[in-house]
Amino acid sequence: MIQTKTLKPLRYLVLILLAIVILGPFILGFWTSLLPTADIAKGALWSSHISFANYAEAVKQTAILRYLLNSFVISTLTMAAQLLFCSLGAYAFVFLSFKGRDLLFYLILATMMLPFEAEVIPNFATVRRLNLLNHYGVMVIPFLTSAFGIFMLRQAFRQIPPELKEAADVEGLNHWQFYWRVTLPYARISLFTLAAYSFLESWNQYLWPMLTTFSDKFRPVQDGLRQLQSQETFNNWGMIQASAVIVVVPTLIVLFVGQHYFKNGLNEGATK
Amino acid sequence: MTHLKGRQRLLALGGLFLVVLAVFVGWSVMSKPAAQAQGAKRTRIVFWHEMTGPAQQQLDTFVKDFNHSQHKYEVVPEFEGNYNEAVQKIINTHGTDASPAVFQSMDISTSQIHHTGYTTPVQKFIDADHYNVNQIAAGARAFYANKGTQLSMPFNTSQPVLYYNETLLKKYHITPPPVNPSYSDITRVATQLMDRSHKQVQGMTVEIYGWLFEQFMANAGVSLANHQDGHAGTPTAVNFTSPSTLTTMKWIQDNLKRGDFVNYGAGANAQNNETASFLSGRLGMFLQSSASIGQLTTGNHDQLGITYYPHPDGQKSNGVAIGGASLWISNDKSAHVQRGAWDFIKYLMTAKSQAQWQVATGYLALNQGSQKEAVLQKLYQKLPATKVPGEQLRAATPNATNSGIFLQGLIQERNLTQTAMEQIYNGSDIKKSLETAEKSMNSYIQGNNRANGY
Repeated sequence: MIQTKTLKPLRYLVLILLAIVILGPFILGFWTSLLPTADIAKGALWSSHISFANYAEAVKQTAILRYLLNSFVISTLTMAAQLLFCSLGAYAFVFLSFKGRDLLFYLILATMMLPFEAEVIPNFATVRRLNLLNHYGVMVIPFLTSAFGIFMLRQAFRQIPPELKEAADVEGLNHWQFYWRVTLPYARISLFTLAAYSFLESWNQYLWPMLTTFSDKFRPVQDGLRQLQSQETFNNWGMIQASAVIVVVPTLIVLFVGQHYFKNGLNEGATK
Repeated sequence: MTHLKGRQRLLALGGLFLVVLAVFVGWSVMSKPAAQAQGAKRTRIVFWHEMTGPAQQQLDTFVKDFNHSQHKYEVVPEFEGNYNEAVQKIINTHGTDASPAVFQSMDISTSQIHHTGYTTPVQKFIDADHYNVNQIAAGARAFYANKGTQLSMPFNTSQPVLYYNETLLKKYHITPPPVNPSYSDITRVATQLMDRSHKQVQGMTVEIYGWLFEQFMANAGVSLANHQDGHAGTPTAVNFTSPSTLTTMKWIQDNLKRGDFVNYGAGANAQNNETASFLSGRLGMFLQSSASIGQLTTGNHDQLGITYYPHPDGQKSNGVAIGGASLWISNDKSAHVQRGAWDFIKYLMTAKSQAQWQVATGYLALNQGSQKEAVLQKLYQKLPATKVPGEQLRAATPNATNSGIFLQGLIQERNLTQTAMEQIYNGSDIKKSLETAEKSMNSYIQGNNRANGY
């Protein structure tokens, strides 16, 4: 008992130090977004002209709000599609028995071993032929489902007691009814986790949109942000930093809402 | 606990609401011009560019004015990120609906873009219109021409120049470098700065940047690639070890050893750091693109001095090649669209547009008539130093060594020379480092030529 009492301040000290290390760059980033660019270029950390002018400039001069909208549309569509298709896939792997079921599942798992970057060239050639370039579709269609999502939901669905399925069969529920009324509500937490995960995954995409979008009409935030940096000339650092802060906010909101589920959900498959 | 949860949820909901609101404001703001464009039946001319900041604003203004000035075409500017990414996008989208009608591509991609065969040389339109190309600066034109054919139209054009802090030199009673300085002029100023400030101010820096390496050679009148830097035929070998190149590298290395030069490394960080040091009065001189003028004059209380690019002692300066990018017309669009693209290019190249372009961006006005325009005259009056880069451009007579290098692997060449520069700056043997780079580049060129069947 005494030991824990003396340890407590020490533990908090370590936590505070870690918090400083992790939050430091964020705070510095936020702070520089308030400074005029001329002072940032000189390397000054303090200025007498603290203001939100950079934010006003970012909104006025750049398409940052449009980028936000694009990302929002793309991420929401991707998230909804992944929830639907991953849960359907997982359902089949758990509750239907058919020939080669396990083999098929391992095949899907195998695709997880191949990083997306390695498939970029064939994927690009495909969407180019489909004439999908520079369109929302190009950023949603290749990500309608994910091996990780199927894997995670399969683990969650397997925790549903077999008695429930038997009872449902006795009640005369068909597969669609069982899927909708029992499976989904039962695995609610896993679905929330997958939703948050796929939303953020889509939100943070950089390489693929960079290759496939060519106008501000479809460009998502991460690429939009990168594009604010100048070519050869004057970089308006204050404005770029302000835009970065604007872009981070939605991510923080999703994390804030989802962290409760994140903790439970991501560990679920692992400990089982 | 439940109370807290409720508050959290409220906060989160409020935040979410704000984001959705922002998104819809964005939608309404951004979709307006598109709605207008659909109203009139004009031919869409998609224009890809890589300009940001003040240059992008000015370019958007040009587009708007051009669209107002006629009723046939609607130019749609689309921003494509940095130069390297844009080259890949241009090549890989050719022939699809997403490809541009007219695009901006960087200086060193000239040979690459030309060899794709995806473009219509602007020479075709120049001939058809009897367009007077002589009004466009010859040095800039030569860079984007091959064997008498103008491949693309030079657009945003910069010159590498030397910047110095005039206020700082005055403070330490140092005579500024002459407008066309030799290496020893620069050494003198750097050493004096170092000594008289008691090492508070660093004299000079030369960024580890292949572009600067190329310019040292150009200014000394030495070819980097054979066949006259590729202007007479496809290069088969490079020469990084000419006497003037060795002299230049030795000049930098000796000064670095003595401590009156300083090494900021390579890449965007080096550029940002040297600019920051210069603006805060800790660095006296540095070499950079004339397009940096905007950044070096806004919010800078010290007076800015500019000179030509330094040249080796005991010889006249040959002049440096331009940097920047040019405008190309894609050949996967209809003749009507290509025509519209050319009309837009012509609009950008008028004396009035070019003068406005230089004032807004720091890139040089290429139309000879621009010098008489009132906006440009006013800029020169306010900041006389801004005249220097344009004078440097006009002072040089274009020849094979100062009109850029017509070679396909220039990105590779820059990587290799930068590695060599890095080694040299850190004290390795100059000749050996350059020979290693030369050997790798030569085998790269041979492989590339064989693969392309040249």
